[in-house]
Amino acid sequence: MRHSSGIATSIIAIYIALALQASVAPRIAILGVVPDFGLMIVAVLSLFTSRPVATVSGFFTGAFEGALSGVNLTHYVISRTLVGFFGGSASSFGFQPNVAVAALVTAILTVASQLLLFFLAPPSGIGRFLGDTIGTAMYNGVLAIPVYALLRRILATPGS
Amino acid sequence: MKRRRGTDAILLIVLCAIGAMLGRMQSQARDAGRLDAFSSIASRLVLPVSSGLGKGIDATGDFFAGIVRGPALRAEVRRLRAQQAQLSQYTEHVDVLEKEIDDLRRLNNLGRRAGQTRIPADVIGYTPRENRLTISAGSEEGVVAGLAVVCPDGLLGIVSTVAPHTSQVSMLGTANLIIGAMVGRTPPSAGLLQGAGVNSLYIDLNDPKAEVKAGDLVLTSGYSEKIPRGIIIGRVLSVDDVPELGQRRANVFPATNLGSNREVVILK
Repeated sequence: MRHSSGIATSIIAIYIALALQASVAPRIAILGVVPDFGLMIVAVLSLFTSRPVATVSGFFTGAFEGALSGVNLTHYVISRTLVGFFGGSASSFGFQPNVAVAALVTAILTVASQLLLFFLAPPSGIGRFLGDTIGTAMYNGVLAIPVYALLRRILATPGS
Repeated sequence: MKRRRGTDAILLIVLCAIGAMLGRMQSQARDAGRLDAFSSIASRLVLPVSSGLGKGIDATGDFFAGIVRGPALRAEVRRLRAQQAQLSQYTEHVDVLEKEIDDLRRLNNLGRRAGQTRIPADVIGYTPRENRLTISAGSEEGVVAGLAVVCPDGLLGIVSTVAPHTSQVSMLGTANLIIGAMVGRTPPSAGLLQGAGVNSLYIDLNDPKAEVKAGDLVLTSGYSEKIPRGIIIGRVLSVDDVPELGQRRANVFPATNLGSNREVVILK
């Protein structure tokens, strides 16, 4: 994968995810559980890009998500930047990216990110927050499968 | 390899520090009831596309719903037109009475009542987890922070930050949102309504012996310069006594379906 095409694809993917988050996510809620497109895209992109690119992707996604939702964006920036950083380090933990790994990594990173958010900005209803987190992690994991397959087609270099 | 890891860690720390700085700027602007520069740029970049997508999805859904439910929808339109004709007589009467109230207040040198001007807006963004809405009216349309946002079922939330053409609304259930409310009995029992999560509200009543029962209607008390009296908030679910604090707390279920509104009205 060429570095520049990776960055360009990341920018476009993050923009689409942010647009979908505000408009589509509430409309496809299942039992009150909404997906987090921003978090999902950062996790999936981190499997394709280098650690610095994944970290920066996480930063911008967090900053925009926080700004658009109107809550304190620091919490979003820190949680998403860390997702990008650790997702970008996945290969060093011995993960070989494939569809199943993408789903699993996305679900794990979603839970980790939301737990971080839990400690940075404790919500009022802990039980509900944890339930939503698990639901969102599963939803993100499922959505990561087609997104991973699409990004592999776009970003994979011939022979890789 | 080690050096690269060190560089990546420094990048992570720098980005988190920038995030903290942006958050600080955002909080300062929010305290002043406006949107910070970064949030404003983010809104301008993303919301037009996001709003267009939402409208496209709704239009597609409405189109297919129209095909499937055509006859039922026509019958509903006829019924609503008949209801509207009846209501128009009632609203004319209310308008006359409201004008009389305003005249009497003017004669007694009392200020203007809140909620007399209605500013319509579309919902262009919804963040369920954060309990927030973004609406398509801002300072240019006369919106200021603290105004009540209502939908046909009742109070939806309060405007928290304002940009030139958009505003963010903290919806009922937001933890730090406190609204003057009353239980609609005779005499009414007033108190402060607070959020405890999505679809979860409670009102701490001023009178610990207030007669309140499950099913009672909860309305805005109007002891505010910006939120008018009598807007429906929800109904009492249960009543808890806190004897050590000498308090009576009523748990309230909101009347509005928080995520299903496309159009709202801001009361000024």
